Amino acid sequence: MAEDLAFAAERSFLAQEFLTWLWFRCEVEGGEFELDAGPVAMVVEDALSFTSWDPDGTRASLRGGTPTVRPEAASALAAGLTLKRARLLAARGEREWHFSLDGETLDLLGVKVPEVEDKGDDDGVDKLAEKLALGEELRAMVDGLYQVFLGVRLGPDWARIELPRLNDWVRQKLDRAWQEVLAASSN
Amino acid sequence: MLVGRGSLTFRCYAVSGKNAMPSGEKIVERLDAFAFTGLGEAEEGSVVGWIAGEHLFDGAFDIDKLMRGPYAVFALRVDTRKVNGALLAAHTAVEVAATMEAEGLERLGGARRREIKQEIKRRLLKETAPAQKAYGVFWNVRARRLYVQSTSKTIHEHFRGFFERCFDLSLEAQVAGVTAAAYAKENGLLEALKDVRPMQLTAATESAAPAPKRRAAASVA
Repeated sequence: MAEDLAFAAERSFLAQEFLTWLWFRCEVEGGEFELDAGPVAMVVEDALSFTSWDPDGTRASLRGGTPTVRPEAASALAAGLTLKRARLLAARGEREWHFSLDGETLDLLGVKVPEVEDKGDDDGVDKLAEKLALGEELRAMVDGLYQVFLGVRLGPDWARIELPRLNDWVRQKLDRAWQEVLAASSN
Repeated sequence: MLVGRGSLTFRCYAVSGKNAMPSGEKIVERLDAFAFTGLGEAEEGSVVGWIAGEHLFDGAFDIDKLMRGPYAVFALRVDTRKVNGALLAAHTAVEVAATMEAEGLERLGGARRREIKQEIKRRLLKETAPAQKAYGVFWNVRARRLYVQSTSKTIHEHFRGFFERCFDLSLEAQVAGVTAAAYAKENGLLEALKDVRPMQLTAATESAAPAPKRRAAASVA
């Protein structure tokens, strides 16, 4: 049991990789995923927290505006930092969830669930139960996405295809960031 | 309502054990047996117990209030009383000075100082109201999934031990490493998981592999 816990704890970095990979997939492939429970569309929205693997290492935060396209975000990735936390949007059909995902624990924070439709006082719908079910549905979506990531991460294509693509994405973001910085300084 | 109020913040647990899907009546009985009773008036430290979901003082467990659709909803109350260290030091210094002056002493022995400090601490504890907090719990009994509305490490330590003792069930937090281990076990990828090391992102130039049109491994639409 203690061994299992230690084994799991040593691999908790996978959540940070997952969050960073999710951002990559959102930007490069549009963020649409087909999960067992149905499709989901993801957007990395705001409040990006980066950290290095070294526990005493660099931390950086970006919030407001559109932080995902800021040069600072590209620089952080290029310096080897990964996402520790971010504010995301998940959409399934017409329904949208806004939430933060913790890249250490996979805890969900500040989840705003889709509006529970008000059908009057006597509609027989328990609004609390419905809200909790929507929270649970989001948890299942995140678990499903994490499993998609694990399939790629632990598979043979990770080192051969996915990691080079991630690095290519970082490089392109950095190139764009430099162009922005140069354009800003020439004005 | 303590459960599901405002935006939701929660950690997920898997519930396992001999009777991992207890009836509503059984849950009510166990909550009642481990209900919050409070701190003694001069007690220091933390005390935990269950409360019903309405508010901090709601100790009335009944099945209609407990069961909301597939969920059992209740809350963990945690009361903590602690004397402020700076306040204790200040009161003790004043009292020690007053005692030395009253008794015409130049210095006071360690045992006497400790005695004064203990007496002041007892007095301050009686004057200090405990911090009263509650954390919502919703438990999808049939799905064997339970959610606690907190991300505090201390609260989760309190919660897990208390829940397991109360219900004689085991909880496993569904955090990244645990989920990865379960997934790897199920899919025959344990060896790959054992070998996995943190990825190193870099912007250094190298020829990136071309993106495949569609990769079955990723199941991406």
